[in-house]
Amino acid sequence: MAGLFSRGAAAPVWVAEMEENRQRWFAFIEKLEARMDGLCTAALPELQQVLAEDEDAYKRTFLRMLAGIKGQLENIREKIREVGEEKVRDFFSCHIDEAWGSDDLRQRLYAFREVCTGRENAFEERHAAWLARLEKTGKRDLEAEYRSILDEHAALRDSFCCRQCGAPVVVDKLYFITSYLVCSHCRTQNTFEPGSKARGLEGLARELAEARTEHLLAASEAERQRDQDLYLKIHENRARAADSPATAASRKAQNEVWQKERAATVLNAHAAYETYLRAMFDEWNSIVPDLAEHNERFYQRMLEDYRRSR
Amino acid sequence: MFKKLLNSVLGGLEEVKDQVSRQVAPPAPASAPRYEPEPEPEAPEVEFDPETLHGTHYSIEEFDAAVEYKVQAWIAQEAAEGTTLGQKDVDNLYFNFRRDVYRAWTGADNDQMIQWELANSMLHRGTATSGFTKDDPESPLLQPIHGLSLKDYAAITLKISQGVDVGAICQAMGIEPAIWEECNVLWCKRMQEDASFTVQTLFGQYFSEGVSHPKLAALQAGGASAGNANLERLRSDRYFYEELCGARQAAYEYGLDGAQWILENFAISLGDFQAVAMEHLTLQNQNWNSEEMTRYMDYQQEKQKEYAAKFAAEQGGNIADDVTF
Repeated sequence: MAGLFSRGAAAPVWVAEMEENRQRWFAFIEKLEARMDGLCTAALPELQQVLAEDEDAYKRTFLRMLAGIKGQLENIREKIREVGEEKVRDFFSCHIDEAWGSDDLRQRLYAFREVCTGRENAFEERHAAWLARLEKTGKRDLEAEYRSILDEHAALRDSFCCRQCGAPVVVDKLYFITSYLVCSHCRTQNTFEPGSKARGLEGLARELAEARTEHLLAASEAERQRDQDLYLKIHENRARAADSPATAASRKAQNEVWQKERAATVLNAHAAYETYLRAMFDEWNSIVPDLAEHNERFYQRMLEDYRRSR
Repeated sequence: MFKKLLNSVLGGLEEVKDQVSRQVAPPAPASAPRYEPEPEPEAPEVEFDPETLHGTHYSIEEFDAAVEYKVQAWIAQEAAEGTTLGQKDVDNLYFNFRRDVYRAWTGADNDQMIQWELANSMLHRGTATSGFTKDDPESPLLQPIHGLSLKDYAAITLKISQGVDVGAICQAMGIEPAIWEECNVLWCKRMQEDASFTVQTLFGQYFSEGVSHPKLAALQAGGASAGNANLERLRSDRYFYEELCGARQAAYEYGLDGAQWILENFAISLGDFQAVAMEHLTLQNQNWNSEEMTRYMDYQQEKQKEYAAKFAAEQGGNIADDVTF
């Protein structure tokens, strides 16, 4: 790199070190990314297999394996963070005072920090993408689980008889906890024990309701994203220097249009979220109608919390 | 299962010639200089009410009036400039002006101020804080369910988490298992409905007290941790507690069941561990000391790293141990 120092002065020693740091930093992250990619590529099919074979109701074997893999990714992240602290951020802090006296040195030092931080950010994005894929291996087929609860319940319901007289006892709904049912023939109180799958109904219900209404939540998030995009467009428009009064006026007018769009988008996002919330609770109540009264109070609480926070 | 996968990936890696020097920069010296802020000027002697932690030289009404004045003045100024504030903005104004007035009137440092906020969290924000939350016999959310109070519920939950048989617990409490199952669902529903977190917070406080429930104290699981020297140490030695927190987290990050590891190596059940965790949290809230908390956090992280190295060694190392800058 020629012509950096206007008076022909020799570059400080740390400039060479800075360039070496940059090269080594890129090579370092590249190697760690390769390890991360290798581990995750091998892990994905293994995780799916472990999940399929895990007979534990809480899938703890799968979860432990997933935790171990995530632990390795965290180990890699921590390595990058520690080296970045020393070789990029501390390096910058140590030399910025000295660099301040020279435009070239200052620009190079800032560029060094920016490009190294950019590389670290690219790693973080790659890490986040792998994390999302790993988490997805644990995605359950909630509808299938719900159907198996219904099937199990149907079998039990059709075979439940009075312990006293042997007559069939009507099981009028999907019980998920031990319940007392009275025989219509001899009035004996019978204890109905739900199946092991049905006992998990309350735990499954909310997740299933959320899954059934996730398209509504996505609609709300799409509006929020649109708001973010408009905000960035307005910001970029303001940041660019206008080459004439006409251009400045045109940009200002454009920004006003975008601001109005933002205001409408924000209202849409709020309305869409409240629509989602209501729909989710309606689904939840349809799965476990016995808890509807309690769920309605929970819904009110969530709605008030949301309105207070926006 | 995780160890097998890790070893297969490590064993399959090719030897890569690292052309960059493998020398790692030496660690910072143990006695590296730290930035020490200038000591704050000594505040005048102020007495604090033991319950509200307000200064005793003013009334709470005077305090609230001063805060209200500042908040309304700000709102009016914003309105004059054409800005209408939302509820979140107004809440933030109250939060910040309360802090300003409290510090100005009492000379309180940061720790004192935070402890005051915790003591008044229900009044200021409508949320409960462990160590400052009282039971309210009139609250509909705290009424017993089928005769089981929140205290009973917390004690039963503790015993279950210690491994005591549910049937034995129900017998000791004089309830049918069906009643217990319904209570277990409905107390959780109360927590969901409660925007103030009072039910949840009191549950946590009672959970840590559950060992002494009159009907359940005698019930123990096989291999019980009650009377265990490690459990007593966990309770009395905060650094030991932080060490085991770090160890447990490290275990999880290496694919182990952290709670099971603690049980196998220290004979402390998850229930007992969490009961002690609640004790420490409550004490911490009641004696807020940010320097001490930082020391505990640093110690926990240091121990987590030590145990992580131990677990890594048992599994043949980490996936990227050989990659250096």
